[in-house]
Order: sequence, then structure tokens, then C-alpha cells
Amino acid sequence: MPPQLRLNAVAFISPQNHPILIRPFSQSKDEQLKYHYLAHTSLDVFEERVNSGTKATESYLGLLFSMENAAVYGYITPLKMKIVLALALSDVVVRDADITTIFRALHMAYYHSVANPFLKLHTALDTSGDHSALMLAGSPKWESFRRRVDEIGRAAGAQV
Amino acid sequence: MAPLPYSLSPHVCILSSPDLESLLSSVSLPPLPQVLQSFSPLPNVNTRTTSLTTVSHASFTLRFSDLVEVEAGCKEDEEIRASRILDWIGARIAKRSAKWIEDEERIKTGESVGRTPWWDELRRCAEGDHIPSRIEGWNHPVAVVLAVSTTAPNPLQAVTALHSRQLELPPWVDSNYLKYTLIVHPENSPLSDEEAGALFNAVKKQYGLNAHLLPLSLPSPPPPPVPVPAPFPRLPPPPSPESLLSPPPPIFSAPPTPQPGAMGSSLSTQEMSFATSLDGVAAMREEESAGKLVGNSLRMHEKDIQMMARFVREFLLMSVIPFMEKCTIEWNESFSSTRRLPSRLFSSTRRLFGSPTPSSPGHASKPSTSSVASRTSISSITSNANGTQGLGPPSQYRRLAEFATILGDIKLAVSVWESLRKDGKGGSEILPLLLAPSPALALHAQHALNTLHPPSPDPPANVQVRALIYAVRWTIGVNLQDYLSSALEGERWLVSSAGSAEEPHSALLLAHAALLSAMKRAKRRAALWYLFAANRLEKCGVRPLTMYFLRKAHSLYAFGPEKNLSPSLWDSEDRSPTAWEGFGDVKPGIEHALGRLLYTTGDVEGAISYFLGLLRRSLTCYVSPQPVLTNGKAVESTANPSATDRIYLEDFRVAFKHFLATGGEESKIASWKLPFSFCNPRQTKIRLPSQGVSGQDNVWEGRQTKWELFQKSRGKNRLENCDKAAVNETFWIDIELHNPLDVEVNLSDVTIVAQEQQSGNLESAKDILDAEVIEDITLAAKESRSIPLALKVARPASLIITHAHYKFLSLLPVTDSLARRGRRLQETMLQRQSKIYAPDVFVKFDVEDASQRLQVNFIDDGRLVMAQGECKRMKLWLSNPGIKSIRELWMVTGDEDELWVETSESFPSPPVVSEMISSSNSLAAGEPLRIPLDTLTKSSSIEPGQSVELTIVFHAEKSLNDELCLLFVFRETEDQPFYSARVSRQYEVNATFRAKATSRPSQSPNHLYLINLEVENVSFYSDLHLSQITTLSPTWKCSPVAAGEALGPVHVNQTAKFYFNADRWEEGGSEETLQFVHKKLGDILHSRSIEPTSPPSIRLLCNHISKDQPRSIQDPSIQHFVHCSRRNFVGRATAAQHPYIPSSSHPYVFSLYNPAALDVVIFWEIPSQQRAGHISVSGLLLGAGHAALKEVIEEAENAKVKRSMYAETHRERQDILKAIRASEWNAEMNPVVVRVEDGQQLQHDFAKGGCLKPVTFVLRNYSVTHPARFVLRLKQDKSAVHSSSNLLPPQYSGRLTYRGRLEPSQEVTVKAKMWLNRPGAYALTGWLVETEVEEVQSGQEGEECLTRTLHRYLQGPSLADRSCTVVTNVKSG
Repeated sequence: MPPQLRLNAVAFISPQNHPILIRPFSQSKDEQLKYHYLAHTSLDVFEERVNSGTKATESYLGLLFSMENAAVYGYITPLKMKIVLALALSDVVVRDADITTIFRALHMAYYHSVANPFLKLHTALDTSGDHSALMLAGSPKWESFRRRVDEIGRAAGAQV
Repeated sequence: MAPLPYSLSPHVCILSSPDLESLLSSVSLPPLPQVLQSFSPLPNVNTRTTSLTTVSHASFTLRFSDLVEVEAGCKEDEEIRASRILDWIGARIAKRSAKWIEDEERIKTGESVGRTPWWDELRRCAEGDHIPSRIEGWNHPVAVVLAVSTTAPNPLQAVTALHSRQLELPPWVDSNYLKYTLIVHPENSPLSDEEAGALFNAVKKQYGLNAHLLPLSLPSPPPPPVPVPAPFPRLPPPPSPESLLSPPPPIFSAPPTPQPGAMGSSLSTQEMSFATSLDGVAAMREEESAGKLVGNSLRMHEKDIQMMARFVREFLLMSVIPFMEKCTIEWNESFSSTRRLPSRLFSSTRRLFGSPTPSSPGHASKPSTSSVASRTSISSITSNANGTQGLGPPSQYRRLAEFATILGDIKLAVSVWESLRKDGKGGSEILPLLLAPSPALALHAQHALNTLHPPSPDPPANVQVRALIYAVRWTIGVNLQDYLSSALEGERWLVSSAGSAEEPHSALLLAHAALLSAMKRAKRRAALWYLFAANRLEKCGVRPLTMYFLRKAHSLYAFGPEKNLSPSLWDSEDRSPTAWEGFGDVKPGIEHALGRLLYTTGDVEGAISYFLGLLRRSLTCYVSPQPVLTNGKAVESTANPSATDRIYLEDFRVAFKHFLATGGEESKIASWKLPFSFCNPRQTKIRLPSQGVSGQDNVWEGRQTKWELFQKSRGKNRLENCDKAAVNETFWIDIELHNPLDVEVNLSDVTIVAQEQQSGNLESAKDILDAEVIEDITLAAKESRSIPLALKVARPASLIITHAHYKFLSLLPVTDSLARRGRRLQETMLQRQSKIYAPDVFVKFDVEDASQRLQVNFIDDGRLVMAQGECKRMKLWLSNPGIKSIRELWMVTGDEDELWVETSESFPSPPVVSEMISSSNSLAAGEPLRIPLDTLTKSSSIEPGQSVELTIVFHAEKSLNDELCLLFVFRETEDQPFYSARVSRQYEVNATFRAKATSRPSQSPNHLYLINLEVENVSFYSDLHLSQITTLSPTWKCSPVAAGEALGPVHVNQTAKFYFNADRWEEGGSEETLQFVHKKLGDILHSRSIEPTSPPSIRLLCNHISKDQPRSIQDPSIQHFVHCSRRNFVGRATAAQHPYIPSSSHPYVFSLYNPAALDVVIFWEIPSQQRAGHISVSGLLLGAGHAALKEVIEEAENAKVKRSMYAETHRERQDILKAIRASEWNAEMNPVVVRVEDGQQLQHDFAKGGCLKPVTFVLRNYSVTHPARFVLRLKQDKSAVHSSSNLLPPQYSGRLTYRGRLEPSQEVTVKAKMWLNRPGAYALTGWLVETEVEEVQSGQEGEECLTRTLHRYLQGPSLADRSCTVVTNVKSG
């Protein structure tokens, strides 16, 4: 992993476009809110790319857009869960292979966390859909998911 | 291709003579440039390319401006001018925004058309710039028109003067322009037409063919105005010291923005389509008559208009276009000859050696590299471009490219622009307008912007203006469909050109990007850009537009994506289509800004509703706040969310206070609702004074069940529910308040609202309910708290508590529902298919008249600390607050609670050493105790208002912490229902003694057993005294071996030992008990139903040892406690041993006392504290048993077992059988105990040889029921002696086998002989007893009794047997 790469934020968005976890690796409050907007806005690009008709064989969508000082990359899992990365805009060459590695790690982190059978422990019985339980992975009660994401972030050069 | 933008058109400067100016103003016409501008664009203009093909333009635009103005503009510093432009644009926007918003909200057209008034304004301002720039050549004049009129005193001299005037343009302005002479000849000119013609010819002769004579009628009262397109707004000149004093000339004042409908029409087009112009004139006249001011107009005569149009057309076709075509051809030749090949070579060489050329902006689709725009190379180019182009006139190639672009020679233009771009001399900004849409255009645009200036937070004004102009040109020059296509993504260009400048124009660029995104249905992006735009505008202080943008962002955000989904999806997913929550943090960001703006603009009500909405808690959005690192572990900090909540709350508080202070409408307050609820209805509950005691609910239920069972057996009145409050009695409702916010809040005036239920109708219960109002409660962040509210009801009623009422932050009155959703219904198919819930559940309670009431309290309410076995006296205070007297009172205790109600009767206890008591012998738990009211009060009833003191004695033998829960049941008379009251008290029992009793067959011939009792003081009481020890048994009589020396003080950790001899006592009547239990167990084994019969009573013999006068066990309280502790012991043991026999049937199966049982009761006292008590030692069984249930068990085992299909049933039966076989009722043992009299010391003179000595064997049959046969065999086998023993082996001689029969309890002495041949200690082992227990079946009278052998046993001396006979050698004589 090249050390110059700097991760600014990670967002996990459910197939129903609910944020599961938005993890900005920055200190200021405004900055943090900005990544909410970025994650939200990136959904438009996801929709455009997915609906563009090309064969969606690859999860990695590449650079979605760049705005102000962040380059936003996207990844969509086969189950339509979306992962958004915001990298600090810099002059270094960003290799797709690196980004894909980060995305895979993040995907696995989510996958492991959702596999926790206790996630559904306190959800109401009459919610039949699974997604509500999957959303819970990001809830403050479950720390392991965030710990995993933070670990990946640290490995990817975020200032955690 | 879309038409070229206005600013990419030939710029014509006009220098008019003063006489012409005065002429025009005299006929109330604007200056000449403005008049001429009204005739642009011209329709149907043909141009020729360099390859001489004709290009036809549907419309061709010309720009006219005053040369003096241009000259002045060129002199001004470019940067200052740019910043003036920005300020000017900002001011214009700020001035008009309110009006625009009004119109926009009225018409709502901008969305669909893709145009908004503010964008039009911005576009026109940007396009209207006409001052030549150093960077590009578009504004450099193509032609200079020198205009005079024939009204001049000497027109020819005027022309000469104009021609001889040096243009004051700076050197960097292109000097390659066309000079043209225009002579205006008005009708009222002093020159005749011929003279004018002569003048024209003279001018033509002197200054070339580029001249025109324009005869105009210019009637003196001006004709009615004709609408013309509004001129583009132009930056007013810089305020000079003089102009600061005088108002600016009216011509430069901002012309009004035309209505969208008037755009694009011009006088020349009007000339071509006369009908439309007439329509326009007619429409304008109508509007004029209606008193409205219409856009721009010219007061010119029809004929003059035609003349003017002809001139403009001629000027364009005959002069400007040929001039430009000529220039193009010339320059193109030089371009193609010098440039083409070498340039390519040159650029490729440069590329090879890496000079700072920008990378070719081809479509970067390299497979493994994501393009993050490189910045390093840009800045150098910028300086390069500025440096080369800033000094001299624009390069010939650039002019070539511009001219080719204007003339429509796209092929040439593109090639020249491309080559310019490769040289880093601009061109990227124009190429997107000329090339076919492809992703490369986006890169061109990006490059154009980057070339201007590296992205920085605060670019210079000049750069901002250029970026704005580029952006505007792109939006005009590229077809809207192409512009929005995914290949171009034009809205991003706007965002890039907006940069990070915080100026109105950049905000409007973002807003336009948002509008375009919304048209592309990229709503989220649109919302984001609207928000950015609003943020920037807010800083510039343009509030109406800011608010409009925020509203747009809000609505775009709120709608969410539109999806064509099946309507049944929502059912299958079990979600509501409206329940989309989305990104929780985005919406508050918008709403907060909107709310604050509303507040500052005076809309306090709107602001309050937004602030209230901000407090909404999202259920699903989890935001990970920034962790704080402590000791290497991440700990979530809670600072961030609390900050936002605090801000929102503070804003709300301020706004609401302002609202109240300014006397806002009361009706508004009611419409504001908190977006969340503080109350948790599930935790709401009523607490009555009767229930205000501790103790677990199941304990109290157990007490009630016990009472009901008891009552059922008596078949009497029911127990009224005690969960009713009484009239005028204070009771409480507990409501739980939860603060979902991350900040401390206070609630004031917290109370509840109830409704009265009257025959199905609900009525307000305001007048009868007196509910407490809590002044103020402060809830910390995320705190949950249960708040008790005192209630009092004035008359009997049935009430429903519907709402809680409070003032949020002491400001906003809020009513929270206390209803909780009913359970989900699943009964019918319909209910199962959809979600149907039962009606809401409210907290209900009934209030009744306080007719029958009883309050019970412990007088000493503290924690009760007892010693184990202590008899503690406790006083209860019973008072009757009701209105009827209580004549019957019962106390219901727990099954294991040992309680005694003390009465004034005293029991005289005669001092006896032994006594006999009778026991019911039943395991049944104690029944509720009727309190003898007649002994407590004189009237044998508790009258209303009267109170009674009741003393109870409590005895607890297990050391534990528990709660004493007493249920009092009472009523007035026989025919009335019972009511109940409760009281409870915590208690703690500390251990005192650990006592252990063991038994063994007595060595003494006079007694059967020896009982060993060890009592150890395990307490921390130092002066614990043993006062008395009592043994109880149905069949055994005990006498102390040593009378009572050990009684007295037992110090901590000391042990006192007592020995008793136990002997048979035959008067107890134990036989019936045995038969009863055997029968019942037999019933169980044969699966017969158990009759609810109690065991027969039994008599117990009590023997006391005591120092002083022994206390009689016949004292009813002691007898009660002894009974209870025995019952608790047996009950627990039985339940543990027979888990499969239901404990409710234990009293009908087992008896309290096994006839063989021997219990010891140890009385203790602490004289210093005047405490006394007693503990029981149970579990000792004496006597031999003979498997009394053997036959029944065998029968049950061998019975043809009904096959059960369940393995569990079978296993359970096996377990029952096993438990019964192992029970004490089926005990089986060898009844014969052999005792060898040892310890004899003999003397013998072995010199005389050996001798025979007698050895006495005592055999006793401990069975009291069965005779036994025995065979005693003495062995001579020496090896029989244990090798490790140093005793000599016995050598029996003489008769070695003895047979006999022992009747029950009979004792036999067998005297055998032992041969001693030397002195020593002889072990008394080597014997063997065979025992056969016989059963005598009593036959008919006179017949012989049949005997049957039941069991056989074989016993010898135990391995540890050390009994011996010692023989010493003495010399006799």
C-alpha cells in the first residue's frame, strides 16, 4: 500500500439506500457532515452507472466523481450494498488494484459483522425483512464493525 | 450545433461625432451603438470558408459598442475591473432576488425550461462584457465605425476629425480592424439629399469604399415605440470623482431584464416577419395602455427601421464578412505553410523530452489508472500563457481561430484551436463548443479551467470572471441535451468553474448546476449543489435566493429517488413506501440553515417548526463519530452529536422565546408538535398504597392463591381485587420519561390527563381527578427516569389515563399519548396476512368508596436482623381508615414462614423432665391464620378509625436474606366479600449453632442406642447459652448419659457434646402411620389415584434436659414452631427425593414423623440481649427396617407394564420406583448386632500350660417386628487375623457353631471358649454370624404360624475391630 494514499471517509449504504455506517476520518464537524453529503450524492452516480446498461460484472465502479478536495470511489456488492470511499485529492497515482483491495477488505468487514447472529436479538419480531437487521451492523451497540473499519482505514492511511 | 454565444461575435466599435449624439438624443433615441445593437442578430447570412464552401447562418450576431467606452475600459486594470464586475453582478442579483423569487413562485416555469431569471441575469451580465481582454481576442474590435451626421456644421470636417483621431487602445489590442464611415442624413438636416450624396462620394473617395450614407426621417414628435431586444447589461464605468457627485448617465443604468418571451426577437427578424412584429407592437400597445412598463423599445419610424436594417445588413455582408474572410484566408496560408508539419514534429520532440506541456486531454481510459487530475504542470502553463499573451496583441493564429469560428469555418477553427491548445495558448475553452459531444469535451473544459489558475481557495477576481464567462459560453454554445448527457456531464463544468469562490456568481453557477442535475433526475446531486449554492449565497447576504435554494435542496432531498416498483413490493418487504428515512444528517443540515434564515428574516413561526423538526431522532442512521484515542483503544466520544443537539435546542429556545415575547398567535403553538415523545407508555403504571410494599409479584400471587385455595375448601366468599384506589386516597402513577436527545433538557408542569369511562363513553375527568403537577424536571442526556405523580380522585369512577402533559423547556406545551399499541392479532386469516393490532392499551384504574380498608404496618420498620432460630416478637399496627368495621381478619403467610400470633393467654408450663405431645403428623402447610380480634379489642372488631396492635412471633431457622410478606384478608360480616391488605419486611438471619446428631448401637446392655449430639457455636455472639435440649420421637425414649453438664455458655467456635441413651417407647401409635404411608406408596406404584386423606395423628415422647426448670414443649407457640420446622425439613427432603410426586400431594402420601425418627430441639438464649430461640435437628432414624415395601415394589416391577409410547413416561416410572426403593420407608438392614465383650484382662500361669477362657458374644435383634435366626460360627483359621494387626489370632475351641432364634428386640448371650497357649493380646475376631430375618404370617387361630425367610445376612467383625482379650503370664505359687 503506498503511504501517500490518504483515506478521508468510508460509507456503507444499504441496498435500500440507507446509510449503514458513515465513518469520516477527520476531526472537524463540518468535514464530517460533508462526507454525509458526499455519500448521499454518490448514490446518484451509483444509479447512473448501474442503470447505464453495461454488464455489471464487476463490483468496483472506479472513480465516481471528485469534488473539492476529495476523490470518491464506489463499490457495489452483488447484493447491492454500496461502499463509498473518499480519498484526499493528491498528485499521486492511485492504482485501481489498491482501491479494490481496500474495498474487498471493507466488504469482508461488513460481511463478518452482519454474520453476527445476535444482531437480530432485540429487533421486533414482526419485521420480516432482513434488511433492517443488516442495518443494525452500524449501530453504536455493535462495536466490532466499526473497529474493523477503523483498522482498514488505518491500514489505508487514514488518520485514525 | 447550437448557435454561438453572443460574446463570440464580431465586436464593432462606434465612434460617433457629437452632432450625431445630439441628433439622436433630440429625437429621444439612445446612442448609436444601442440603436444598431437592436438590429442584431441578422437572419440568413452566408459566409465562405477558406475552401470556399458556403456556410449559411440562420442568425448572425454583431456587437456594437461605444469606442470611447472600450478605450476607457482597456485602460482600467484588468484585476480591478474584474472585481468590479463581480461586485456589480452581486449587487444586481441581490437587488432583484426578492422579485425573482416572487415571480418564480408564482409561475414555476424555471424548472421545466432549464432557465431561471437569476441564471439569465448572470448569463447576460457575463456575456455583456465587451472590453478587450489580454487572454482572448473576442472583444477586440473587428471594425470601427466612424459615424457623423449631416447636421454637423461641416460634416466633411467632422468625418476628417474622426478619421484623424488616434485610437487610444493599448498595444495588446489587435490593431487589425476595419474602418468604416457612416453618415447619417436626417430629414431635417441643413444639407439637401444631393448635398449629402456629394458628401458621401467625397468621403468614399477620400477614405475608401467602406462608407455608408444613412438617410433617416427622424420625425420630431417621436413615433410610438417599437419593442427591441434589451441590450446586454454592461458594467458601469468606474466611479470617477466627478461622477460620484452627479448621478450616472441614464444610458448606463442597468436596463431592465426582458421577459423571457421577448428574448431573441430583433428588429431585423421583425422586418422579415412583419406579422409577428405587428403582433408584438399590438401587444405592447395593449400593455402600454394598461399602464405597464414594457422592456426595451425604440421610438423609430417604420421607414427608418428599414433603412437602418438595410445599413446593418449591408455593413455586415459587404464589409465585415469580406474583411474577416480575407483575413482568414491570409492567415490560414501562413498557418498552413509554417505550422503544420514542423509544429507536429516540434511538439512530439517536446513530448519526448518532457517540457512542461499539458498532457493531451484525450479521454483517459487507461485501464489501471484512475485519473486524479494532475496539478503540477498546470501552474507553469498558466504563467506561460499569461506571459506570452499579456504583452503583445493576440497572436495571428488565435485571431484566425476566432474569425474562423465566427465565420462558421468549423474545420479550420478546430484545427487551429487544437494546435493552439497543444502549444498551451488556450483553445480548450472553445473546443467544447465546436466539437461533437464526447467525453473528451469534459477534459477540455476542465483543462480550460485549470489553465486559468490552479484550484485555490481564493482565486483572483480576473480568473473568476473568466471562469464564469467560459461556463456561460458552454451552457449557451452546447446543445442542452448534449450538455446534460452522461458523456459531457456539463453540470460538473459549472461546478468546476464556480470553484471555491464565495461570491454570488459562483453560487448561481452551482444553482444552475443543481437545476441541470435535477433535470437529469440526479436529485441527490442537485440537492447537494443547491445546498452549496445556498451556503455561498448566505455569506453574500442574498437571503431570498438562499432560502429558495435551501427549500429546493430540502424538497429534492425529501422526495428521494423515484422508482418504478411493483406496488406489492412494499407489502412483501413489509415496509411503507413513505417510510424512507435516508441520510439522517443531511436533512438537519439543510433544515437548520433554513430555520436560521427564516428566523433572521422574521418568519419566527416557520423557524420554530424547522427547529422542532431538527430534534427528530433517526432510528436507523448510525453515524460513527470520531473516536478519541485513549491508551491505544478507541473510545467513542459523545461530544459531537451533543454539540449539534445543543445548537438546535438553543436555536429553538431563542426563537420560541422571541415568538412568545412578540405575542405570537396561541393557535400556532398548538400546531407545533415535538417530533419525538418523552414518555414511554410501556413503563407507565399505577401504584396504589396497598401495593406500595415491596415483595415480588409472584410472592403476592402465591399468597392470594393460597387464600383462594383455603377459601375454596370452605366454599365461601370471594376475595375482592385489591387493585382499586379509594376515594380521596392518595395513590401514584409512575410515568417513565426518556430523553432521546444528547443534551440536558428540562420539562416543566409535568402532569397527566385522564378520562372517565362512563357506560362506554369517555368524559373528561378534570373535575374529579386531582393530579399532581411537577414544577420542573431536568433530564440529563439520554436519561430515563420514572416520575411518580400523586393522584387523588373525588368520587368512585373508572378512569383511563390517556396523556401526559408537560412544557418542553418550560416553553412549548406538549401532550404525549400514554397509549401503547395492542398486541398483534393472529386469529383470522385476514389478520395473519396483514398487520392488524388490537386497540391501543391505556392504563386504567378504578376508584371505589373506601368502605372496607385496612392499613397494616410494622411498628418497627427497620431491617430485621435475627439469629438463627430466634423467636422474634414483632408488632403490627392495624388501622381501619375505611367507613365500615372489620370483624373478621385473617393472615396469610408463606408456606415456609414460621409465624405465631401471640395472644394474652399464657400457658402454664409445669416443670417436667418428660412429656408426651400429640402431633397431627401432617405435612400439610399451615392454613391462613385467623387473627383473634376478640382478644385484641373489646368489641371483637376494628371499628372505623380504630387501630389495633398485633404481636406476632417470627421464627426462622435458615440463615438467609429474605422478605417476610404477609397478606391480611378481612371483611365485615359473613355475607360480604373479602378485601386484602399487604405488608412486608426485609429480614436477615445469622447462623448461631451448627448441630449434628449421630447414633450407634449402644455398647451397654441396658440401652439400645447411643445418641451423640454435637453443637458448635458458629455465630459471632459470644454469650450464647444452651438452655435446654429436648428430644422428640414417636418410638424412642432418650435419657441423657450425663445430665446437663454441658449446658450453659458456648463460646464462639466451641463445641458442646451431649450423649443420650435411646430405648424403645411403644406407646406412640406408630403402626398406623407406617401402614398409611405403605398403602399410599403402593397406590403410587400401582398408578392408583391417591385419596386426599391425611395420616393418622401420632404421639411424641419428649425428654428434656435443662439446667433449670425445663420449658414444656406443649407451649402452643413452641409446639407450632417445632411442628413447622419439622414440616419444612421433611417437606424439603421429600421434594428432593421424590421429584416426580407432585408436592401438592405430599401431605396425602407422607407423614410428618417417620415412626423411627428422633428429633432434637436445642433451646438457646442470649441473656445479655434477652433473646431466645431454638433450632431443630432432624433426620435421625433409629431401629432396623426390613424393606417394608419390597413386595409392593416387586409387584409393581413385575406387573404387566402397560406399554407407553413415550420413553419419558417409562423413564419416569423407573425413577419413581427407584426413589421409593431408596426411601426411608423402605429401609432394609441386618437387624442383628453382635457385640463381643472385650477388654478383659486375664492372668494365667502359662508354665502350667494353656488354658481355656470364656468369650461372651451378645447378639441382639434390633428389629421390633421380625424375629431372626442366627448361626454364629467361630473359626480357627489363623489367617483370618488381619496381617497388619499385632494382636494374636484367637483360637476358639470347643463348640464352634451356635444356632438360635431371636424374637424382636431379644438379646442372646453366647459364651464360647478360647484356647490360650501363651500370654498376649488376643483379637476377638474370627467369628461369622449368619442371620435370617423371618416373617411370621399369622395363620388362623389354632393353626401353626407360617414363617418365611425375608432376608439373609452374613456379618463378621469389622476390619477396624480392635477388641481383644489381654492375657498376662503370672507365676502361681
